[in-house]
Amino acid sequence: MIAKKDLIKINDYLWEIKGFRARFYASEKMLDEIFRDRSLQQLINVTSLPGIRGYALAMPDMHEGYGFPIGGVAAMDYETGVISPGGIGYDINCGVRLLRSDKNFEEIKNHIESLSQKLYQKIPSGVGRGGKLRLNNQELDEVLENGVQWAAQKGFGDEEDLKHIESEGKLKEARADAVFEHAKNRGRDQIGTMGAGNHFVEVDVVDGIFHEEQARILGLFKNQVVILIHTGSRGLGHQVATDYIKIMVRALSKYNIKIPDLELACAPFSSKEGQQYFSAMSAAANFAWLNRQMITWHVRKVWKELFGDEKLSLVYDVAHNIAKIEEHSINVKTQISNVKTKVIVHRKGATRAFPEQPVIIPGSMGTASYVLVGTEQAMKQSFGSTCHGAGRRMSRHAALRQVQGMQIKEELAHKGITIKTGSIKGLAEEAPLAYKDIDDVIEVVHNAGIAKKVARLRPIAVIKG
Amino acid sequence: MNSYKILPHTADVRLRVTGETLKDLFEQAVLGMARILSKTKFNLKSQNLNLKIKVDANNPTVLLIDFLSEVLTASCEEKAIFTKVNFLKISETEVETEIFGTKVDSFDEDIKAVTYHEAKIIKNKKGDLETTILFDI
Repeated sequence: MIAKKDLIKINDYLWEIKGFRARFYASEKMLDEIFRDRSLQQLINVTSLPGIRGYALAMPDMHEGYGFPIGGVAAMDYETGVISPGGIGYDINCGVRLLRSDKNFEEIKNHIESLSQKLYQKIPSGVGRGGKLRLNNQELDEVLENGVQWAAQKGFGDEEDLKHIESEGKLKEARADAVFEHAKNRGRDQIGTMGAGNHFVEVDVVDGIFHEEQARILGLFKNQVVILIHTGSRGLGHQVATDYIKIMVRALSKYNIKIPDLELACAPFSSKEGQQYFSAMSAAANFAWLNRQMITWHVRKVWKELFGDEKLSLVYDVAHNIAKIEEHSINVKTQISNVKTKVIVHRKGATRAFPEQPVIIPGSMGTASYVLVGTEQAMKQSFGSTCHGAGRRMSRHAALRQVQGMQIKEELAHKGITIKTGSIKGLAEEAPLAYKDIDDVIEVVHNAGIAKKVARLRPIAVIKG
Repeated sequence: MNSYKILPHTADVRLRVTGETLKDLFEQAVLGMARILSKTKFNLKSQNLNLKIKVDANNPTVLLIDFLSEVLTASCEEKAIFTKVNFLKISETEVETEIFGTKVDSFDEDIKAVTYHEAKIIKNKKGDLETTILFDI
């Protein structure tokens, strides 16, 4: 196991693992927690992937995954590097979006119960519950290739929405024919659905502003009511990942790639397998953005029913699990270069944090969430990336042993948080004690300079599967 | 001894599967996954769905994971729990089966995927085949 003696302290918030091009963000007090699982060993494993440039990085919300650690960032050379589906994860483009209202808490406080009840009724959640939008084969292919742009054309959103989504809600490399039939079948009826686990729709109040000017630019003010949506590409994305990891496991010998864990299976980005996966992953990412857009459409309808014609505008929508073609300066000693290098940035449980770009970080259920903005420092240090959430510290089983769902519901009610869920057991599994402290995680990325705090959000209603 | 046991993992679910033969091991893995997907006990009479699954791979561990992945895909596509496996052929590199299942309205757990992460079929002290399988949930 890795211990403190194996680390070089770069600064109060950044550490390097001796002998490896692997760095991670954490405060000193978080180290013991990090040493408890195998995240750092997994980070070391990532450094063995062919064509990796600069450092393999992990964010302070890291925890053990399979292959890559959750909270991992790795950039592979565009020409000579690989793409690894495990570096994106099974829930392709799991992400969050934030909607802002013009109302303050006082104006809606007597309607929280009806608002949450209606949201729970309108947005399908839970395991295997289908959505209302059923698409034929041709429509589904259009969705996969056009993402939210399809929704805007069909009246489920507008041009203004597109401007506030990472990559404008569409990765142009997407190809519907790279997504196998099983994946399409698995996701066909899941558009506009939340799913289960840690996915949710949450009504929040802005309870702290850290940067007045940035908050004003983003249209945020103290006591404002905002809505946070957290979900991904559902079964379609899970199946795309499964299908292509299988293909890449079989292609390892063809490309003479040796890896310490089959979940790191990869293929050269320029190979047929690499290109096909990137096309399919992009299609699944588009599907996820459309999914969040359709949930937004439901939320807007409910809001209109209760509060009239006011539009809920998008603050921003970010992906947590994705690979992107980007250009970055690589600054590792042996690769000194001020010239930008084209790389495939893998973010698994990490958020893009380009300068001035809004970064939305959901906390665990019932705890604060944050709005930050990306920085130049992130471009220099972390391939324009930052953390994605609180990060799990306890298994679902362990959480179930320690708390009961009803107890959590009562505790949240005591804090003034309304809960609507189909699974009381799920509440216990997602209990705040099962996660790291979001405030600690945010302090690290803020102090490390790889994102700057703008506002803090306090939940008042949580709707989950 | 043929058995499966569900174990905790930080973010996911782990299954330990044991079987006297490869066929037993594959069967226990299917039963273990069915138990994660649904706590309901299905009797054979309720089975109203069957389909064929054929997989090949260059080693038994990859074969098992790919086979289970196919069963999971079928479960998700058909919204069904598969609890009976009829083996038409099984070797270390090839498996051909007919699986039988019951249609359900929903699952108790949303398994995203069967991972290769900790899987490695070994012979345990009792001489049985054993592996751990990690599910992403």
